[in-house]
Amino acid sequence: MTFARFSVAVFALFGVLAASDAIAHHGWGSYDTSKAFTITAPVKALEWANPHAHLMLEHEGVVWEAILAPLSRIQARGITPEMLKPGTPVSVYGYPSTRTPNEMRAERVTVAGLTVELR
Amino acid sequence: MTLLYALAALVEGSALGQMARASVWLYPVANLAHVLGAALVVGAIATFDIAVLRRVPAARGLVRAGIPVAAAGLVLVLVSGTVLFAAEAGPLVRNGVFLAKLGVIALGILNVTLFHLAISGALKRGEVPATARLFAAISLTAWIAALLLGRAIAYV
Repeated sequence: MTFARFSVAVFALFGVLAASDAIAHHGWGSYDTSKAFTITAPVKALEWANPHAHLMLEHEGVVWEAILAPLSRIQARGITPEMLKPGTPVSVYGYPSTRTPNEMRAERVTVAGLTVELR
Repeated sequence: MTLLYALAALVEGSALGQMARASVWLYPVANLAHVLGAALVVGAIATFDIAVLRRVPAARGLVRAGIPVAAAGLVLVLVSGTVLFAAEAGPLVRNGVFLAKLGVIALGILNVTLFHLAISGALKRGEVPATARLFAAISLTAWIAALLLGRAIAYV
């Protein structure tokens, strides 16, 4: 196979993948972006850990687990673990998991007047 | 399975596992090293396998050039992979794609061992026997699959 033909094959493969991705859920894992919602509640628990930090928040009587971002990204955008101590009021906008009940993928977090995008 | 899950819990709870999760930089650095290592391993192996498949007479020379590259890559993937695994061993051993990745790595290692035992003599004499091409095809498939499955772990 010549390099040119190989290149065409690779681009064709990416084309197919891109098309199937438009049908399937986009991004990491399965989160329903059409059901975006906001949880505003005090932090119940913070799991400050790689590869993603997690926040436990109560919403309509159930505890939701919000998945944030890698620690380096959260910090680079101005949120430290000290700012997310239990009891601190936060607001998290995100998408519910289509697989795990009460799991949310957080798109942005607002704490102490600071709103941070996580993508 | 119970034993596997228990071992994974042990690894996840280890000092390394805790460090991999708690440190801001260890996990991302391990991730970068893993990508670089995988590129070196699969790049070196693919170069040789494709040469064998195309019956390039100088395939043995490629082994000489490729082994240090693959070895450096192997060290990188093993060390960084240990860190990445320790960070979330529990979920990983329940991840079908991760288990499939381990499976194709085992196939690749078995294949290279058999290849070494069966073919290396012929290669030294400058021959590329027909069975060498079968080994090369299995190798190429297994290592590319390992690379792609590794990246796919995060999406299932």
